[in-house]
Amino acid sequence: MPILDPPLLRPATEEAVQEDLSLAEDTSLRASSDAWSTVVWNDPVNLMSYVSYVFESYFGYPPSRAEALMLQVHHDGRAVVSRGGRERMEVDVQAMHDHGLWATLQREAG
Amino acid sequence: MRAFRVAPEGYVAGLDSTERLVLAHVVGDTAELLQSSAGAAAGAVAGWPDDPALRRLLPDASRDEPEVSEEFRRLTQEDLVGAKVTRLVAFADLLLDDPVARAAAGGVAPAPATDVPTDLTVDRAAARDIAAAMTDVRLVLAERLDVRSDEDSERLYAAVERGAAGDDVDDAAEEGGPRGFLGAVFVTLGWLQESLVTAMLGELRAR
Repeated sequence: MPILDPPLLRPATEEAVQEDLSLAEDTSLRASSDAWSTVVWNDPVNLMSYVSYVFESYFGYPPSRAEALMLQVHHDGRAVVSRGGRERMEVDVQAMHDHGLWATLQREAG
Repeated sequence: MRAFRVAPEGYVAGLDSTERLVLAHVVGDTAELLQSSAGAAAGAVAGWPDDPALRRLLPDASRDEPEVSEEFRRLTQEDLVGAKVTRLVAFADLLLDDPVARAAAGGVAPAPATDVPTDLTVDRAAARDIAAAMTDVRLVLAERLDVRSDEDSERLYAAVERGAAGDDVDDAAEEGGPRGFLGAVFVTLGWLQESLVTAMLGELRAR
């Protein structure tokens, strides 16, 4: 199966892979004027297993993180799955749409 | 129908010729729907596409900023449509890669009826694309079936499971008619996708 190699696809992946779900801790991003995030929204069609698969294979998140984010989408209706500059978020949103997930990009409050 | 299982050659399910033809038909319809939108993104205006099923396959990229959505659509929609159509066509080809199904699809009559499932093998390299194609088909079916919430989806699953005499997608679902038929395809394809993705996840995590 084609695993999208995370380091090639997302050069700054080191900053994205954290065990801590509260990405709000990353204050350097919040202070940046170019701070955007990718939000994945719940939908009644996508399988939980498929959403986890997408988070693990595309973002390279470990299973525990992928499942936690998937459950957050499922229970809360949405979850922030990545943060960064606008262009990188556009790439991530396009990838989510390509997989059939519903995602949007949004500015972070500066 | 047999769910996907892991095998040396890839992920293998079992579908009979009727199941293959029904699924290939629905997959083909989804590809046509997408293809109908090709070329239109250049002139995209706010609120386009009108078709809610297309909108779900090609959603807005921003909730609050229409300019962000419009720019995103102009830049990405053609690529997304092209990739999705390619995957759906590959999925339909895979479904029809069976002597009986091929004969029936080609109008070569009469094809012998068979309820015997034959192997449907998805290469590991193709699995992600097949899973994505399954999602796109189910998204369109859900729109047509007015499945808008998790509760709607659960109700549909319950209705189909009550009505189905067996696991065959061609058995009449409780509702009957075209809606019952689409509901049965939606649920069956979901079941098939679940087994494929479970197999894929298992191997991804074992690496």
